[in-house]
Amino acid sequence: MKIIMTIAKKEIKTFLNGPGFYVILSLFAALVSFISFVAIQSLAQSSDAQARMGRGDSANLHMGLVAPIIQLVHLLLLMFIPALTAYAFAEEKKTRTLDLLLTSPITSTQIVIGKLFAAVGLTSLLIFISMIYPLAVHFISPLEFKLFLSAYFGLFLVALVYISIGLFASSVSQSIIVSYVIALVISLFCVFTVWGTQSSENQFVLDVLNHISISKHFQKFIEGSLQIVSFVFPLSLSTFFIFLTQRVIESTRWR
Amino acid sequence: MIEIQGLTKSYGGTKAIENLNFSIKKGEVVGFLGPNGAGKSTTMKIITGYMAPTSGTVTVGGFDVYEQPIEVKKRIGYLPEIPPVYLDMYVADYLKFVAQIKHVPKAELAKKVDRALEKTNLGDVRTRLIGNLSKGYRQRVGIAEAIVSDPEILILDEPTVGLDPKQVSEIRSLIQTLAGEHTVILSTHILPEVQATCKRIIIINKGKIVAEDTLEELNRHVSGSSRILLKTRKGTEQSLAEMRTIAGVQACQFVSPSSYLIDVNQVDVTDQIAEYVVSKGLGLLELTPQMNNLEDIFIRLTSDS
Repeated sequence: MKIIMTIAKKEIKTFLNGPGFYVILSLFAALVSFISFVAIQSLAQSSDAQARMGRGDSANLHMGLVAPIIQLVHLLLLMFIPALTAYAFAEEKKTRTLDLLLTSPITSTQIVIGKLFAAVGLTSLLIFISMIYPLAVHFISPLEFKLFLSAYFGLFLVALVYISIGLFASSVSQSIIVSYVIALVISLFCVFTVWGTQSSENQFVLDVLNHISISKHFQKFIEGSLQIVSFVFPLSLSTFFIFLTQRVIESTRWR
Repeated sequence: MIEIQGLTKSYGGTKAIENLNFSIKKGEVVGFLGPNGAGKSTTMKIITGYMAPTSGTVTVGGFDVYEQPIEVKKRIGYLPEIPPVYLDMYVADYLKFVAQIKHVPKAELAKKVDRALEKTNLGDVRTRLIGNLSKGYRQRVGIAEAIVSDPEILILDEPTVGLDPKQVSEIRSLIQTLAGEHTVILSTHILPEVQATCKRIIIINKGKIVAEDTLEELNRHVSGSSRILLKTRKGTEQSLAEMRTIAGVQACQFVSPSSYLIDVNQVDVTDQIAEYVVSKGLGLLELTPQMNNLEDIFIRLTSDS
């Protein structure tokens, strides 16, 4: 555990020392601000219109504001997380620093988990930034806090899947760009299976697609209908990719 | 300390090393010599547990490298061909990180880092970013990385590449001070380096050991004699003939007028030769034992098919 934290700390420090993370952070913050601004404004317009027509007394803040924001933040994370994780192994392989880790008295599992922790830490910071606008709204007009937490917990779980995919993509390539593209494609595939559910007529295929679609499970969290399967599926998917990453790193020993 | 038996590694169809057998005792400094692509780095990587052999076993301090890699890696400090430094870290931070992942106790961290910095003369760049350092400094950071955990065994893959002559001699004397307590394996194709630092030499060519002995033994084994270069102010055919009669001199020839190459069977013949030159008033300018013998050995052992 000490070793894992040492590696995680070093990773985070490296990110904070370089300019890359700040570029990602500021672009993300700018986009989140834009998204939240537009979401708040469109909610205001629609509730204004509804009030004028005399229908509905108050807007549903969760479905009207938090849900659209979190859906778009999810798309942003889909693109930003691979950028955070692409460095993890690709850069170490290119600069041959992986040699140091692999000839040190530590296991490849410790290396992979250490990098996972670092990526989770940095991603949590991004997620926290995206919470600022909804939280600010909360002070003016209270949100349904349990729903809010459930939605963000779902976002965190989905982000965990993307991180694991990103680490795996980084471990199979020496090039940061190739890693980024691989991670993006696998992550997009996980999201786009939801479209398959709209075009298929076979009940069995439909069930399978529904189950493996990250978006469907994420939607459950946003709606606040928590099911065991929605916890288990993202967690097992990310465990699977972390396991693959560990195998790839370990394989340098016997290849 | 290190036992290697029947070590073979093949990459696809090509065999990088084939059936290597040797052992290294505690405290020895062993030079690993060979032309490019002979299999030096591959052998070192296998000993460090970085990669597994195709067949054969390596035990380090009684632990099998493949079965108990963690125990083996605790005992080894390794400097690969390309120093594994993080360009975006500070020198002292980097060494601290390396010490941490090598299980150096927290209480000793600062002390060990300072010691490594001091031994490699990096004190004045400790707060610099490694990416801003020159190649020679990075190489020294790599050496500091290998010694920071004070390991029993040091494996250095071409440690003096990219260093200036002063640093080269510093690193050589550092390696000499490490001998005794530490076991050192050094790979290089710079021959004077081996002559300066190593007691025992393993010459490897095309994945096979072609010679394994001490430097003196190798000298005797290959040439059966040593060579002396003599330069005098005056030189005559007569003196050449007379020198051949000195006891211990096997052959004597002119390389240029007034400079001779003398083959002797012992080095102490130099006394007699010097005495002779002085007594004849030839004007002694230079009397040097020829140190390029290792080069001869090396070329002879590695060039023939």
